[in-house]
Amino acid sequence: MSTDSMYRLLVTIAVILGSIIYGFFINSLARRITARVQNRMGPPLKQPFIDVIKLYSKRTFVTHGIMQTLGPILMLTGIISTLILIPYGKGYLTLYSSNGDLITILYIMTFGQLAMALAVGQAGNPYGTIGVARGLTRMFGYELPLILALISLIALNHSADVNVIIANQHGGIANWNAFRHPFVGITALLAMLGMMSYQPFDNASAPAEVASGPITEFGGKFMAIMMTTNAMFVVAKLALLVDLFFGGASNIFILALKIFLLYLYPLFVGLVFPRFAMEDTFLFFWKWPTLIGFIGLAIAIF
Amino acid sequence: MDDLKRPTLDSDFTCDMAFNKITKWAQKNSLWLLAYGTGCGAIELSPTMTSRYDWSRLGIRGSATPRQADLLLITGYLSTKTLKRVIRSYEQMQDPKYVIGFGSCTINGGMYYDSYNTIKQLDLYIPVDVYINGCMPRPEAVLSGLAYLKDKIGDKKADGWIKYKQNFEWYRENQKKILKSFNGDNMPDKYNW
Amino acid sequence: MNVLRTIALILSLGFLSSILFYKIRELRNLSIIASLSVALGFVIKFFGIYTGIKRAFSYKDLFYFKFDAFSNFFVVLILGVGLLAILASWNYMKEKKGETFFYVFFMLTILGMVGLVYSRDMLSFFIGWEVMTMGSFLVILQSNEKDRFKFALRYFIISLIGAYSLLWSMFIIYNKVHSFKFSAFNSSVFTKGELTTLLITISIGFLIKAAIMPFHTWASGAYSRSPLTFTAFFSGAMSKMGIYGLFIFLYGSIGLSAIYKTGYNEFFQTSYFQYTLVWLGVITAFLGTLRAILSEDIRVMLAYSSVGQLGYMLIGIGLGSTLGLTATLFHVVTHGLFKTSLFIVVAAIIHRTGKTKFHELGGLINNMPIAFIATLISIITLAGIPPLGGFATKWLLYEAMIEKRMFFATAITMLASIGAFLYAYRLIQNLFLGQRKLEHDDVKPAPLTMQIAMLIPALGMVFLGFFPNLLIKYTNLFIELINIDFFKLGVKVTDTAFTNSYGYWNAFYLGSAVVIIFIVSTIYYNLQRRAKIYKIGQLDIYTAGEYVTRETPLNYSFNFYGFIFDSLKPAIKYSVTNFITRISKEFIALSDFVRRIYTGNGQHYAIFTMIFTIITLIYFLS
Repeated sequence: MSTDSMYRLLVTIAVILGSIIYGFFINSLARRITARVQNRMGPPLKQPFIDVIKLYSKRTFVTHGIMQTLGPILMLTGIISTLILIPYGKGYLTLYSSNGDLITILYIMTFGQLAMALAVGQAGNPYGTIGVARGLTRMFGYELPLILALISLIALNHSADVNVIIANQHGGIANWNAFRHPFVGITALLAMLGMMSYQPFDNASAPAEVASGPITEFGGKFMAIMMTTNAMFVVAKLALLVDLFFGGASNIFILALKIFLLYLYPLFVGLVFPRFAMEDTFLFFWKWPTLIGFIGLAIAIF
Repeated sequence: MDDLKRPTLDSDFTCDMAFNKITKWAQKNSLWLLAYGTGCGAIELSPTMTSRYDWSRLGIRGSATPRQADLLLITGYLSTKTLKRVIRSYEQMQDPKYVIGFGSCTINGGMYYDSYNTIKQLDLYIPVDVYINGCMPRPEAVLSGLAYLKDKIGDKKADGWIKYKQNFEWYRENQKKILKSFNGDNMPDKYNW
Repeated sequence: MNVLRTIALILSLGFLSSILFYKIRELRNLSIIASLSVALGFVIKFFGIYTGIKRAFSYKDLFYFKFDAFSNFFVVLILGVGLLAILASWNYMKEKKGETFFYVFFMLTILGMVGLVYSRDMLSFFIGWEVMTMGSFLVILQSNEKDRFKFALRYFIISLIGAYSLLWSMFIIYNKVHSFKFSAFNSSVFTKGELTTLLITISIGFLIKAAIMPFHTWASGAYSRSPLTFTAFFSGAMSKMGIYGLFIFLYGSIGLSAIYKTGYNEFFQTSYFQYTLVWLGVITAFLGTLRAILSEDIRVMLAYSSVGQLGYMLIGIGLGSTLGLTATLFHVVTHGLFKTSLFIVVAAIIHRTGKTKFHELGGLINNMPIAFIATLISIITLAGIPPLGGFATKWLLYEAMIEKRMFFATAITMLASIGAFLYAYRLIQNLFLGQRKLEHDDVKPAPLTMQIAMLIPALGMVFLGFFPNLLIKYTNLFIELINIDFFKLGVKVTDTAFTNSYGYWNAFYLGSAVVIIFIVSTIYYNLQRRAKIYKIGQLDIYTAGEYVTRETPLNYSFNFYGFIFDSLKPAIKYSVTNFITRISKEFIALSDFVRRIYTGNGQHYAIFTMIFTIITLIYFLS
């Protein structure tokens, strides 16, 4: 192995571990912010780490079959595969993004979700299955505006390469895609609400409706891996959106800051709006965001 | 009730409690409780979890299903019908797990001491780690009970789940005594099924 | 040695033995399998060899057949899928009514298809086409479904419309060009209007076979009512004949410049005709997927899924660029693989349980583990998730569409493929996962031959996921062969990396990365040894403390995507099928009215005859 690929591998491992830590960090920060909005103290910042260690230290795990046992691992596989295809900066921080373009990233993202869905199916809990059905329906909803936004970007940049899209936004805030192409930006931001599965679109894991949705049957180690994976996935999704619409980042600290600021937006929206019904969620994405997305795409082409 | 032989803890099984420092600390500071209000005491949980007392600062939060929960609160009186569900939920929780009896009713029946359909003494049916006295206990009392449970976990004294496993037949027998239609209602004899 | 004659001889022997031994099961099946596999081996042996063998066959300047890479590509698909389907039928059709003639007509269909694929003139093409339609129609009649006749007839009538449309255009061509040969087509003798009409009639003929909306109305009935192992072949290989026909007629015979003559749009960078084809494909992909999501019958879902997937292939044909055609050919292979596998799995399940609806099944993973694995691989391919073969199609297709700057169409197509994810999940969840029904406790695994038949395509899909470049090399080879060199080669394949002007993707690295990450995760996952993992029964689930029994319906499977149905209810009630059904009802009512002139009274008939005679006399005498 050459020095170059060795460095790349080390940076990749660092980014993967970093994304876990950073994902947990912004998660607990979000919980504290939520608490402050509700005039509470909120949990300490280390709380997600404590939770995960506790879940690992559970003494018994129950499983309904092979897919439930394998599901979390496959999910982790899918998310890490997504993570290494997204550039986090320049040089080694582009990781392995030269092995797949935007379309590849979009598709490999679903790998982890499919694994999760299969694990839920094997668990045999109808609440879990309803959760998955809701999640998939929501995905079917928000993917339309998201795809429109991404296709607009591809059309504007004449490339599906994330690195090229980042490079084209060089030179100040005014050049960021979200501001230079406002319709595309608005579409992506609206679709992102569905992507982040916060309120008002948290139908899949709605507590008090479908127990806790997909994770209903998962405890202990399974749950720990799912929490870890979710933290990584949040970072991956946000990093991708930052890369595509908010100018990427020259170093990892600016990226972290941008990710956090972007994360606040679905959080505050979620604090204001109560949960939508499933039909409303689905139709919401196919109405206004889609219309804006079509306008954005039309402007991008003509 | 006095003639009952109390279950004891077999010392062989204490190795199950051999957690290291980090995991013990984590278990102490992260208690997810099953959102299951069995009696009137559940009303005291709302102020405990919201802005005024805010239990989340202690690392406590609710969880919707027993699979993820560590802590089961028996909030107040427990009717025999509810006991059935409590047993099921308790057995579905993953080890280590803890039970807190809430209010006087779980200790001796409280004001329902002569009721025909209420459990008088909770620890005959499921092992209780901590009792919180009062009718009802105020949120301060609830928080102090939770703090006491944390200390117990730290001292490796919260061993109700081992007790339940070791004396499983004894507990089942007691449960069957009060739930006449135990097997008729498809309740399983086994722990995991 | 003439390769074509040998292949024809081998297949005819198979066909004859299916007739001769039609009552002796083992002998008949073995001889058919032997004939198909020998023919397949023969084709594969001479796949890339063009020297030293005679590979053309002509008869009196009327029939002309040619053995080349392009035809072989499809013949390998036909024979391979046919072989798997016959293998699966051994157990599936065993002791069922119609078993004996099933094989005869099946072989007839294969014979017709191989003939039409090798033919390089329109006449033999049409004969093969009709033999195929006839054979498949007769196979559908061999199923045990009660309403098979209605759906078979619908399929046959709609196919006939397509066939006449084709025949008409062939005669028009002959009238002008005085030759049936594909290569003899000369666009200069046609006017612009004639060419347009020709293109439309030809595409109607093929779009009907490919079940492209709005000509798809026969598909759900015919796919779901034929014997399901035949449906594997029907959907896996036969529906591609429409795509093959479009390919050979549009790009092999008529040619791109002639298509551009009918009207070229500078902005779209393509002709109006091709643009329409692309949008037909997009609409089919989207609506077919939507219907599949909302269907409750497994067979109907797979049928609509096939309709949707054929839409993707049509998009590639419509694009007409090298990249688009490569995507189509790639999808022909992947769809052939996963749909064969899926239909055989469904056949096995229906064979073992007798249930055809999603909500009647569930939890079969422990009974049918092999079928589960095959389904899992198939749905990953179907949904186009890397690292399996389906993603290559998706990538090629999107890049091809983006290259042609059809962004709206790309968006809808991508949405359709997300929708494919939805019904694919339902397929595995409602059949294999979830709660098993009490009556399915001792369902046996799929029969051996069916297990083999469902696993071989699955292996192919895994292989294609890691080495899509091998297939691309072949397709590039014969895309050049049939003279589509108007375009620069759209995709650059170096080792395993795909690059075009818009994007890149490295299949092998990506797949390897996924495998390595999986292994590392598994090790990490199993580091903790002290904890005990308990395997618990299917009833031990969170039910809010309630005690449930096996009789309690705990499967969430009926109306799975009810949210989508409720949301789109106002739009869903309009469908082509309903429209055609209404027209047919009106037509029956009209015929019923006309029928009343046959009163049974001789005097009325005498009056009718007299009136007719008088009118005729007046007409001719005046």
